[in-house]
Amino acid sequence: RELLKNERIRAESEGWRAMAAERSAAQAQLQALRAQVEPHFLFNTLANVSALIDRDPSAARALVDDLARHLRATLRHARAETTTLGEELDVTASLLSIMKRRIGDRLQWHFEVADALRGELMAPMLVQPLVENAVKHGIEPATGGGTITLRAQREADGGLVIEVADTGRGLTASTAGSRDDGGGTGLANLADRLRAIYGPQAQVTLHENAPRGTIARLRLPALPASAIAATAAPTPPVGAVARPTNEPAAAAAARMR
Amino acid sequence: MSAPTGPRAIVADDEPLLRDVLVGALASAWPELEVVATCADGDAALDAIRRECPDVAFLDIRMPGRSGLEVAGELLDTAAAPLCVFVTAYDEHAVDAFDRAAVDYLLKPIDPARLARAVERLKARLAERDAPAAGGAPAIDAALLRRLIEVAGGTPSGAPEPLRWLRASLRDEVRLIPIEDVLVFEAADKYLRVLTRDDEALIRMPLKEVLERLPAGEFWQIHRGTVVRTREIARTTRTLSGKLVVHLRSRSDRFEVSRPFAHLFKAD
Repeated sequence: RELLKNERIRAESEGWRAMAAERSAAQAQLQALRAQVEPHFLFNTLANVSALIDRDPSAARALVDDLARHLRATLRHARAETTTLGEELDVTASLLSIMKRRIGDRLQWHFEVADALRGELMAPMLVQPLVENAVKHGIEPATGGGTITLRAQREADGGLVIEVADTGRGLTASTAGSRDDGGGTGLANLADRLRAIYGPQAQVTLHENAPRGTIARLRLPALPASAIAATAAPTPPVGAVARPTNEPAAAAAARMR
Repeated sequence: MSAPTGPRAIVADDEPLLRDVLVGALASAWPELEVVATCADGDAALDAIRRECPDVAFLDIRMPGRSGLEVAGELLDTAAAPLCVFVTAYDEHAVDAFDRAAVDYLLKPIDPARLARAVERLKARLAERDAPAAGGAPAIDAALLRRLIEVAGGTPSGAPEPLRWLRASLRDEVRLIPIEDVLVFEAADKYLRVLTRDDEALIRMPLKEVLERLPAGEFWQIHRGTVVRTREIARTTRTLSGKLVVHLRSRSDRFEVSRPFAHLFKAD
């Protein structure tokens, strides 16, 4: 009887941990969602649309299209449980097109991702926040602007490494006059979500770029297709992907069978 | 000492289209106003103001280099400082502060009616300035500006800059570690060991400087060479020789508490 009681206690505490992980993942997702429809971005972009209507009507139209595509994809995207790297790149590209239209030559950008990798399944909203940080904290505050490069590569162990590099201001440059934390809080949220979904083998780290700027490196462990499918199994809408924090997704998937 | 020429202004915004829009809107709303310079960042704006001595400066509050608020801050001690109108797409904190202080601001996209009202106010204030009876009142109160900079722009100059990112050596690379990830700072020769949940890195900064710049209330110094994030402290134990030792939640390392700091752990 003692054994059964311990078993029940363990199952309950696992249940609590699972709920806590689920809640933290949901909160992070909600925060990501709020950040997506950021008013400053929206109103600045609308101001540019307004400016273009008389000056360059076809550019105005293109910008409205980009904005609509970006907002729609972001809202849908943030609710989805899985996405592909290709879809994440498309959402990111619409953001970068909008910023390019607004600040012109101060932003250059390109992707270096093999077509074969575009089908990789992954959790949504892991790459876009890194690109937004690169724009907001790297390029925008840099008087001369810079270049954003997004690379993805398969690792020897089957994992995926995605890098967002910018040649903008760099994070340890003087931040006097900027109220925000250079993206630190958002990054902490992303790291928490990453751990909740992929387990401790997943990491997001920041590195100095040379000659200046920042590189954000996202490392996603390889998950077998069955684990991704388990991740995508129907769950309540707000609760997205939930795992006890110590247990990688693959083991959880196996346990669920 | 009023100049015979009409009113002059500079416009600063980092987005070229939006600069253009404001210049165009001003041409309609205030035809006598001459825009003598347009700038894409705060440093260029400051240069232009010092060079041209305009009567009015329209300043985007979010710009590379100095923000619009910081530009205004630099002009506080200047005799011929321009009247400043701040421009923002959206910044609820700044806007609240501006409203309460009756400081002029414009929202993007520019609303012609609102711009017209701002122009009326500016004309009135410029007329006051030129009147012989006018005192030497500055365009913006210094204390107010400092407060605005705090609210919308971050710490005013003078305060030690809060630590947000550490440039740390980790193995053979330079890693940027957000302060939120740091659990412990520990002095080691000329360096500081920075411990996060999964890693250990080194920074070259004196512990004294770190202590001045840490977010208030999140860390405790527990030893001459050790600073610990308080919420990471799981419990304390005593060694056989009676020393107090701190155990962390996320790492297995333990840290000795020296006598001057032992009071932190006494039960109430």
